[in-house]
Amino acid sequence: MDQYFDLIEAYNEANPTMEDGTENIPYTILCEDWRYFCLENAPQFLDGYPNDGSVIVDPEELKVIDYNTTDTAKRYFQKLNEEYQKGIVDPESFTQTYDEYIAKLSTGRVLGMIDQWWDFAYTAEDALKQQGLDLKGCNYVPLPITIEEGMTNQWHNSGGTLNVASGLAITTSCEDVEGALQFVNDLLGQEVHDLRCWGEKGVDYEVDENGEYYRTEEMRMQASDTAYKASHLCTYSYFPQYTGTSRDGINAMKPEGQPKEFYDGLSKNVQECFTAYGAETYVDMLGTSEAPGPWYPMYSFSNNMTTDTEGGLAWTKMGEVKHEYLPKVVMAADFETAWEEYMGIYDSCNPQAFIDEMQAELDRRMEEAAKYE
Amino acid sequence: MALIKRKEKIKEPEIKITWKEIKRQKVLLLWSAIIVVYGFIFYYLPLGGWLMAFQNYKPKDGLLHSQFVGLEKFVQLFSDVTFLKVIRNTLAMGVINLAVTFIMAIVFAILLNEVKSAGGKKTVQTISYLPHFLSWIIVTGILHDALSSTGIINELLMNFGILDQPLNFFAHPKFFWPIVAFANVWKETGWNAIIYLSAITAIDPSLYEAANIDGAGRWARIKYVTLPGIKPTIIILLLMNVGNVLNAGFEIQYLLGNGLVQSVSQTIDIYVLKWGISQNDFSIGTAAGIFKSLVSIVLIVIANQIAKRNGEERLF
Repeated sequence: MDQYFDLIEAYNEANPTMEDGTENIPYTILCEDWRYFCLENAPQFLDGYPNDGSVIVDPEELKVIDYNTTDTAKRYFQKLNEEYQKGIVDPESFTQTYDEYIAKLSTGRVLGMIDQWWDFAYTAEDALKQQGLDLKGCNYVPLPITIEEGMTNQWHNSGGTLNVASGLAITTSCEDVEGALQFVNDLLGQEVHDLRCWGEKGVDYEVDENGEYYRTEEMRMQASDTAYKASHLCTYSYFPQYTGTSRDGINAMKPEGQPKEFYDGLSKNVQECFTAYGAETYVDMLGTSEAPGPWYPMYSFSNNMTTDTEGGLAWTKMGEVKHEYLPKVVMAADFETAWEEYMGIYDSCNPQAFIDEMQAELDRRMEEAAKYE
Repeated sequence: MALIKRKEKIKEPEIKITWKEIKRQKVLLLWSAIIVVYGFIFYYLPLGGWLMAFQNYKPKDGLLHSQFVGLEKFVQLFSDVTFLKVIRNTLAMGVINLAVTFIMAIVFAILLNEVKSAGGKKTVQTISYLPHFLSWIIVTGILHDALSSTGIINELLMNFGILDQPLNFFAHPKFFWPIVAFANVWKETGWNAIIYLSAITAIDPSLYEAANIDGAGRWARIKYVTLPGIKPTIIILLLMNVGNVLNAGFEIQYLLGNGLVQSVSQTIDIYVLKWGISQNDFSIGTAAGIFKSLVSIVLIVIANQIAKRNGEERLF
């Protein structure tokens, strides 16, 4: 973590502005509404745990740990506080909206941020490409940051995980349930899936002699245009879909998952960067870990909690407190006092009730999983 | 005065309700029946939903089969510190907004009325009421840009040497209410002034002439002719707006707010959305809504009584 901020600081000192003279924003944090996970759940990653989202699960003892109160959490927010005082953290971090955040990223002024790839890739990254800023080196490459050097990180996990948070429903008044399911099935068929994600053959992608899909530079440019995407592609992010390897065993389900296509689509700068790290994909940059365990991901439970239960009520209140106090802690002139105050108010939300319910769910999931072993 | 007194003495002839009379008025009655039905369906029928506030409402069980819990939800509501803060915010912003938009509209209407060139008057009026037609999402977008660290306000303040560092207005709770009030004034002043302008045009010009002859200057004419002339309008609008104080707004606070200022930015409407809709606790949302309606009714009755006692125009 310290190295990361050293890098940002050093770069900003050497290049305080963009080519056209606008000032760089060294580091910004999105924390609008539900997207404030960018600010709040970093401690789980810094400690080398996967994205359970709302808690840490100790894989050995199968115990739920609250990442808000760990030493790592305190160190992380203290670091942000120091960087804020130095002017490295964008002072608008805590007041910007998602749109403003994306607009900032799209100008290429932002040197670094913490976010999930899907949160900015389809908007800011495409905007950078459309403006040709990617050729000037405005690109984002993921780094697996941990609190200390040499820890294993789990910023990326592979393997099948089941997210049970959302699903597809058919209304009870549907007269032809079979037909509706058939329709869903058809949309998941390989041919239609390719049409949804890759587009039309010969127009949006080409096929080489080995049956591998690829795109020309014009096609890539076209596919990064918001209006074109809206009218020609149809990923429907909430509708069932596949990622990973396609049924033909050669191609990826989506263009961004096709290693060669992905690499060819990168700007020279990123390719150089990858070569230096001996990587070919973003995942190579992060390294990958096996699926954490049958409980994963715990956020699929906490996301659906309601205030009906004590734990759910605590979870909502914790969220409210964190929304207000985490920014305060980062901006505080005196970090220690602010942290003490935050911890006091945090405890009054009864976080233990939340942790207990998460623990119960973890136990339940492990029990369920055991039945299938 | 004599004229007014005589008017009061004239009694309207009593009309007896007979079939003949009903027949004669059937068109009128039909039209009013439509309004009554409309009012019943859209204003009174939904009140049945208030039941939710006294139940532990579950959509699955419906209104008729949910568990009845009495006033438990209200107790829960008022023991929530956040809700008390929310009431304070709503009242504070409501009163501030009412005061500034109300006064600004009257002042603006009077100023505009004093403009002698017809073309200039029309232009100013048109330009000033246009913001009313912008939706809040656009207005807040403009505000966000104008007040951002690279926005026009910060640039100006820095050029004049008032600030040496851009100030992040949205990070300080103390700026939030003034920003909301300013936005309301900017958006609504021109629109609200229209009704006062029309009230001013209804003032008999001979009164101004008489005042002129008596040697009244511009200031005196405003004070003794214009203001008394629009006083009934002012009172009626004030009464209606007092009932609206708790409607301090939803969009603007929702769109301008953020975690840092949430303790001063959340209004009852946002609270209802957050707990009622996002958390699926319809009962608590309804309870908050009922509280808001009751307070509004009480406010409007009090204001009306005050007006009555002072012998002014009133709503009922």
